[in-house]
Amino acid sequence: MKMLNNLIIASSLLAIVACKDTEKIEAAEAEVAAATIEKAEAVEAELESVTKELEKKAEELDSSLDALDDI
Amino acid sequence: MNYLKILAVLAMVTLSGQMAQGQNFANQAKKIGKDQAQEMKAKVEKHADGMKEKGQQKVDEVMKKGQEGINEAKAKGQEKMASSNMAKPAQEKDMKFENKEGLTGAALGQARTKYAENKVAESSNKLSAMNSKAAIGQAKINAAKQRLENAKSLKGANALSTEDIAIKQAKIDEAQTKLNSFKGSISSGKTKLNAAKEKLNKFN
Repeated sequence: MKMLNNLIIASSLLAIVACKDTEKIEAAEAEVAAATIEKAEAVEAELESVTKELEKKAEELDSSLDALDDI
Repeated sequence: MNYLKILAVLAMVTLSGQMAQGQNFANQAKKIGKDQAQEMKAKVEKHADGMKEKGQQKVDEVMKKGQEGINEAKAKGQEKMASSNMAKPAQEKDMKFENKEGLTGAALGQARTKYAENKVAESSNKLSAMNSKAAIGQAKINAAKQRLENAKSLKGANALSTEDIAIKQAKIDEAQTKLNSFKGSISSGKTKLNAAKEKLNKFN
């Protein structure tokens, strides 16, 4: 009977430890995902600003190049 | 006895005369009543028409105000949309990642990185296209320079004035300045793109 009690206590403790580990893993994954998202958004914002700048300059260049047609 | 009979006949004649007169009065009164009733009815109908017209005016007025309110609200809404992300072109909206699969944790991080990598690849393609554009622009400027040089040697009526030459040269110079600035932006864009790639690779 005592042995059975010990067995129940031990398996309960193992279950609690396993739960804690899962929580920790999930929390760590969520943290990494949040950091990844933040970085990815920063990268996209940077690319967006590069594209916008290039498109604006391309437009300006086009109008100047068109003006060369009458030379 | 005869005397009594005569009196009775006289009384009857008088009574019947009075009755006829009474009937006449009654008819007249009836007629006057009918006229007045018709007059009243006409007045009531006229009043009702007036009320109906006023009511309609009020309804129109309220509806007009309501429509004005709606138009104003619409205009304000559109103004707000124009100043917010909602009014941005689809191409820009597409920059935003939407987690439609309901991913979480590591899977979400990986999906997000993959999406950003696709954007980097798109930007890389755009930069290549811009490079080609710069090369075409340079060729156009060179051709214009050559045409101007040829025009400078023209003599007689076709000869260009000093002012004409200066105007054309200014156009070429302006185009060259803009092209150089464009090339500079392409170069800085490439540097930023490489930095973006590195940033993303650090997560993998």
